[in-house]
Amino acid sequence: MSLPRVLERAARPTLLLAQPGLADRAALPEGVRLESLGDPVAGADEERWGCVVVAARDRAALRAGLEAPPAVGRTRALVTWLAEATTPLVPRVRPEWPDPVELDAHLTDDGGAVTRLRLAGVAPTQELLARLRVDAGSRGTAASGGLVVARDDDPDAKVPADVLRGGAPADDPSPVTGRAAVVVRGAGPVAAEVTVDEGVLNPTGFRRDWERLVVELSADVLHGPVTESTVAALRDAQGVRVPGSATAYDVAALAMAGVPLLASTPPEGLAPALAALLTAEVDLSDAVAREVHSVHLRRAAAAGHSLLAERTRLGAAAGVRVAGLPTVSVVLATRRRALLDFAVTQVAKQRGADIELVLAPHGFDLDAELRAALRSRLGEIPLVVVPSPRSARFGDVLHAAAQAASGEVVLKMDDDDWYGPDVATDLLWARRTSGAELVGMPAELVYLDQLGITVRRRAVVERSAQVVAGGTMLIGRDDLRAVGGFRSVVKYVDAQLLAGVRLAGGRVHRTQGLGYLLRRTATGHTWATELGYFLSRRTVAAQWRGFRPSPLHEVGPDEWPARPAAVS
Amino acid sequence: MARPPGGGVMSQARVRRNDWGSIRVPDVGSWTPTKAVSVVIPTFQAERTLPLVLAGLAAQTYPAHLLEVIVSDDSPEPLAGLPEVRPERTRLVRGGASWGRAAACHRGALAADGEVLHWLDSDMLVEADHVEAQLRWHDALDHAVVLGHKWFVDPSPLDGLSPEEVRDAVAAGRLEEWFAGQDREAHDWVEEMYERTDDLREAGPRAHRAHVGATASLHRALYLEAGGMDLALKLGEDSELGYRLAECGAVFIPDRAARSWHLGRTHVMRRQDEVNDYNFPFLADRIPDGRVKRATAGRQYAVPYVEVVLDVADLRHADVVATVDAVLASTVPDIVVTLVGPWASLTDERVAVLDDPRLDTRIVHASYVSDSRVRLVDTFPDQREGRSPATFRLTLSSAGWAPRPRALNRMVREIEWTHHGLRSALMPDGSTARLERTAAVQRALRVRSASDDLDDVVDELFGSWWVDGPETGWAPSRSLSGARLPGRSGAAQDPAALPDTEGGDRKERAAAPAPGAPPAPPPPSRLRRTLVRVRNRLRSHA
Repeated sequence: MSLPRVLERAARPTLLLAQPGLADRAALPEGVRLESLGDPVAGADEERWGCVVVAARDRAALRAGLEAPPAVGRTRALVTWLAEATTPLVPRVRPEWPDPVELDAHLTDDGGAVTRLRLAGVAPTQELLARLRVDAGSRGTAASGGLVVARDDDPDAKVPADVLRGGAPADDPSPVTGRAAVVVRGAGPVAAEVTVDEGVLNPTGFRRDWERLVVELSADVLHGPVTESTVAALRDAQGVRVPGSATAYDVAALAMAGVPLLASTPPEGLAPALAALLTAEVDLSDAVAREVHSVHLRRAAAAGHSLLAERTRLGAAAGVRVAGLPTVSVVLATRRRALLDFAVTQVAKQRGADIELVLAPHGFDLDAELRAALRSRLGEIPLVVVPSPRSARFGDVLHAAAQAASGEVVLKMDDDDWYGPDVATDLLWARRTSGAELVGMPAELVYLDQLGITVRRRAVVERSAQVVAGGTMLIGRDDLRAVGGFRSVVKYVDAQLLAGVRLAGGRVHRTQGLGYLLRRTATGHTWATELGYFLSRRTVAAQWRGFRPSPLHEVGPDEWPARPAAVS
Repeated sequence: MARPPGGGVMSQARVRRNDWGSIRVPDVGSWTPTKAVSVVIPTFQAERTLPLVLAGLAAQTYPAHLLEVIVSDDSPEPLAGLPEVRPERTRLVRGGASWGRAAACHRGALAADGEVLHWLDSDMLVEADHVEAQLRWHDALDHAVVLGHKWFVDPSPLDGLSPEEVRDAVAAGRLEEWFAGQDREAHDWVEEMYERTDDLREAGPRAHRAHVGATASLHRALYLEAGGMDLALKLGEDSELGYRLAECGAVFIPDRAARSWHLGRTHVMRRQDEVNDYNFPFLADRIPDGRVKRATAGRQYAVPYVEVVLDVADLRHADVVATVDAVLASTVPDIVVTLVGPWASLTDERVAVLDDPRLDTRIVHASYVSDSRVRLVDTFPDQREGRSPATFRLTLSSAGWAPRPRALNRMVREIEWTHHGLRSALMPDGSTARLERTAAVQRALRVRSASDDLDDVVDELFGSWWVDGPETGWAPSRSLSGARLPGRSGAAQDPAALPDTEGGDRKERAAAPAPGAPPAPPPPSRLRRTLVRVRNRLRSHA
């Protein structure tokens, strides 16, 4: 449905908050007031609207425009119009508002989306808009992390903002905050950097197969800045070549979404690490190399151009403490003293995340000397040791460790698998962008100890899933507590947690797994039957003789497996 | 014969499959040859062209002290003598056990002193750097088979020219001008194969099919290791030798820089269909990987496609018999089985028959001693000691799991499709069935260094893959045992009343009506069936 038609049907008086270029002021119908989305609106706080219409090109533009929603009175209805969308927006209704009487959300024939929410009475427009912004992005990007942003200096505000996106800086520090707000853009001291909304543009939906070879990012594909619709249309390509005319935003947005990019001349304004990746030699016809490239691009984009990166940068400039990625407690249970050193090495390697290790020796304890040795290996990472007797059920061992955790999220790691140094950080980002309660990786790469081969299994990545590898499950401590923690069982602890989360309405998201390598050391008389499962043509995508970590593993020389004894 | 790694070449290049593009050789004219080469020319009534061929060889850039020529004459009327214009060290050899081109080539090879053999047909006029171009590869690799390039031309521009003039023209590089304007024909099916396979780089294990000996060269040791020319072949000897060279691990390298002119069309090109018809049974017998030449009907051939090896020591006879029978029942017919066991210990010494500690061995021996497809050997066949007689060797690590009829075909088909050198099936009891490509193992043995694991090298050279045994068609051997022919006993039957079934096997006999029995009643009609159903229902409610 076109925007004029939406406006025609909207109840009067109507307030239209539209991104510049979407609405023609001269052609507006009677009773519609047009304001530019994102700009302050003056003198409208006493109005009672029949309908407020928000029009934006896509979800990311909508969210950016509602970063600091204007105070514009009260309204009975809110209509959202997006020119490009892959799914319609469904806003939630806060309990303190009048009851909803109509909610209609649908995709339009021309690739956009319209959502109409009508209430039994009027509600504060600013609250409706704030709620809309949250619902338009992932759960992980809902909160501001403590940074208060305003569009313009509001002389009436009792507590001034930390950051102003326009206007002039105050001359004196505010008596309430003890500081003056910083201004970005225009004449401000902090440069505005290219920022991409990772709550909208992210790797979810990444495809590891392709139907087309490398495509050019041409006008056929691009009708304006990159949107989630652009990304969706490019998912089936082996890669995307970026022309010299592309903007830094386009490149950063595609990189954040994990689209494999190539460019001969990267645009100005990109983080140097991202610009360097664009011109790197990559064999995109190799599925693993292609995905590794995608992962590097996502990481560089996240570090340089995400909302979180901007918040961190602005917070530092404004002298404000802001929330970063959550702190992580690694929970690691083991029955095998011989594997302690290896397992702790995998934790000590982790970088980019604030972590502690809760080690749960099962059936043995660590003496002071060993603890000291592990502490020195862990460096800055705090160590908590929670021993359990051999008689304890494995689920209880993990539960005891999780109880001792102080991090905001818990990451379960296994004692004999290989972890690349960015596994924890990758999982935290996956949690932030997907909004899922539990995130993990597929057990895609598996080293079969007895045969001395590495297999890569077919795995679907970057989407909601039923199963993730038990040694990569990351879950918020509150969510873990809500499902009763690790279940008191001897086996299938991982599957029980996944089932518990899903049963409670939680989502499980599976991100890429190239930094995780499962070691299959089958024991007992059924080992060969179990290995046969990993050789089955139904699951095997590739096989290599020997130990073949991916480039994301960065395996140290002392972490390599011993050569296998020949099979019988 | 145990072979030192590397053969006659110090540091061997490792060529994956047949992708010789990974080898770097010097440009012609920019290197210092060190290897002695023997050019072997088989001749049959070649009085007209031999002087031209030798004149071409007299103009070679390859150092004269490293080049000898052996004219191996197979003419019924002996060649009167050698032409005047020829390389300094040119010999004429004759006689031998057999006749034909193969015999002439072989005789020449045995007489040769050079480290490298260079075949050259007696109607091939070569360019001055022809030998040098080919010899470049033999410094890098001791298992290269280099194939020279040739154009088929009408030799009439050479009419009336003296051998001296031809020699000088070759030395001056003027041959091209002489044949200019003529229709040049390339060797059509060879060129087609080159075209299809990027000059054999992508031909993989099938590269040997392009082996044509009109101008080709290889290490003499490789030739002898392959067993030399098959003297029984009067045509097609190059194709057959190519297969065996491949089995020894050879890499086939067409070198377009080694240019030559074939004076006239070959008889193969003139009477292609007749030649093919003649060759068919000879090559089908000897080249198992030309699958389309082999009958599906359980025929046996001189060279098997698959050799299955099982060490029966300490295995129970029932398991062994079940497994071997399953193997022999495979849909791959041209198969041989090698059973390793202490057969020599089965003497006629008096024993308590049923308490004999070698009872299992005796029963297995008795089971297969008369089967022409089964060989009984005392020591495990090691490829280092001699290559497998078959294209593939399948080694079973136990007799617990055996292939269903299609399983072997599936494994072999897949290793052929992938060009791999090794394919292993893992059984649920931890035992394995290991299918290896003889050519791959032989090449790995050539290029490995002492510290290399052989299978690692096979993987590097050809690739390897593990599969799940049950998924690939393997089953517990005991579950496959017991298929036997139907019995034929019973009281004498009336010959006029025998059932009309082919063979009268159990299943068919059961289906046929017994003699004299009344015809079976027709199936009940639909109305009747409904009636019965209604009646039954009424009864059950009563």
